[in-house]
Amino acid sequence: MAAGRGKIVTGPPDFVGVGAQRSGTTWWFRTLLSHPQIRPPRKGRKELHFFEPYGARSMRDEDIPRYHDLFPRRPGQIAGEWTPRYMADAWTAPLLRRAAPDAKLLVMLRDPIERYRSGVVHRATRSPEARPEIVARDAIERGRYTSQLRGLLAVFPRDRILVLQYERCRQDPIGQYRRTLEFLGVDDHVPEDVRRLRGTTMQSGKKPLWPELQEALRVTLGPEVRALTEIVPDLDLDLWSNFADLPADDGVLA
Amino acid sequence: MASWRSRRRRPRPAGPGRAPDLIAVGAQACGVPWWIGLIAEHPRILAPDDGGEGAGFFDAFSQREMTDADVAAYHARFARPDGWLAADWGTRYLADAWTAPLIARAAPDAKLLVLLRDPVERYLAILRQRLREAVDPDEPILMTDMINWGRYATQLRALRAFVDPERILVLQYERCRADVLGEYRRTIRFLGLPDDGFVPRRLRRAARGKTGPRAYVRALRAAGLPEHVNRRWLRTSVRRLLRGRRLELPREPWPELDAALHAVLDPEVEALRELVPELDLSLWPHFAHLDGLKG
Repeated sequence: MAAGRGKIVTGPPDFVGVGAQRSGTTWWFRTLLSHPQIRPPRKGRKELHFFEPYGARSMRDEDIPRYHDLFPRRPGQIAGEWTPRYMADAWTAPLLRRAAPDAKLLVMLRDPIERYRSGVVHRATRSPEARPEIVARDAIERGRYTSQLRGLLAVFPRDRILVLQYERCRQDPIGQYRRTLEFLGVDDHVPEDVRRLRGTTMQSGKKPLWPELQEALRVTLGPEVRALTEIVPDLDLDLWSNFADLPADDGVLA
Repeated sequence: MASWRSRRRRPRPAGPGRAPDLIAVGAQACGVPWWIGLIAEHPRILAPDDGGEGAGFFDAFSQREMTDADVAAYHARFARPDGWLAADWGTRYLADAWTAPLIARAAPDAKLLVLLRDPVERYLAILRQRLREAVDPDEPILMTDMINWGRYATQLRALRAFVDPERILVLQYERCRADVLGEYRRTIRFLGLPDDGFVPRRLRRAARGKTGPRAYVRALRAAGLPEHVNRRWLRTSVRRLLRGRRLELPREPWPELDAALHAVLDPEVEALRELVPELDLSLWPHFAHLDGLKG
């Protein structure tokens, strides 16, 4: 499929990145946008947060065209967005299925304890008024990847969800980028620059974890990671240093 | 007998500070303050000195390590003479993954109390509360946390990794409502206190065989007054009327939300039944469909 000319049309997104927060999603989305066939939502935004209100009220039929209108593209192009909290908001998956039934989903996962560390600093920086324990609680819950993926798999077929590992993308950005393009069904392409666009606010803010917290995080997230290897068989736990030595039976995940 | 809050205002008995004997760890919106209030009326139990809000002592240790000085400060909150039991409570402790090892260190011999409620009912109750309290009706209300707080099995399993399960009593909020005296006595026995017939002031009506709503409430319900209409509902309705804002408060989840909640919570409730064999799913109507699935 080659990027074409012609009238701009809108419609449901062709792809939606659904997670996870603080896992390199901005870097990856911006890299995808270097492809001539891939378009962002209106105004070049990455995250639309469209489905957030629907945990507190139902989505009406008239809300769906509003979502579709956010994705202009020309013939031969695909359009999509990446809102990392979609995967964490359990109500989003069925709504996404309704609003974009043919969309392909992208998921980028990172070592959940490293994700926690980054998430705490990120939230504290963006929302300094937020209570620290609320920030920490949210940061832990976002690491429950298996539970979240199961919610997606309840409504989307497995072959329409691509799960990437952030650490592998850093090791082999070209290979994983081309893998993503193949999944999205666009032409092969070599980007000009896949160097990681590093955020400036988080890097110096991350604090080392003390032993009790480290252990508590492993206890609560270990079963999630162990179960994740069944849903994502190509997950390389050696890339997740906090879980590389996970015992074979690290608790049973609900 | 004075209420537990008025007892809190009395001079506290002197004595050395030491770890509490009981910590109610959650869950949020499952009746923990109510239950702790009943427990604290017992003449051998020292009421929590926390303003009725739950100390939340361990909240701070998501951001820094708990030191020995912190543990000493925690113990100092529960100064009491021999023979008295002290209680602490924090409805977020169960959900906060960092708390369990800290409780194990700061109160290694404490018994833990967990109250659980139908997690879908809990979600709806919090949703209604947030809708009532919202200042800007167009501001989205995020409910992700309320789904995650319903992951009881995940939380209980993590707690049991640090605390002997024998020291954890799990109660069902609905059973406590239905058999308040029975579950109260069960709690007292769990604490190692003799069941000598003491009945908290608020339960004395029940002890006289007068259970359930008062006669005038029963009459109103028989005349068609909906179940959800109570004094609190009337208060908030009047406030809304004065504000000039009409709210639609959901009593049941809409279909897509219901599907999403069950996708997350059905596995949790299934796993919870393994951890808490006495769990009675007939008290959790949103999960009664799981009853037939247990092998």
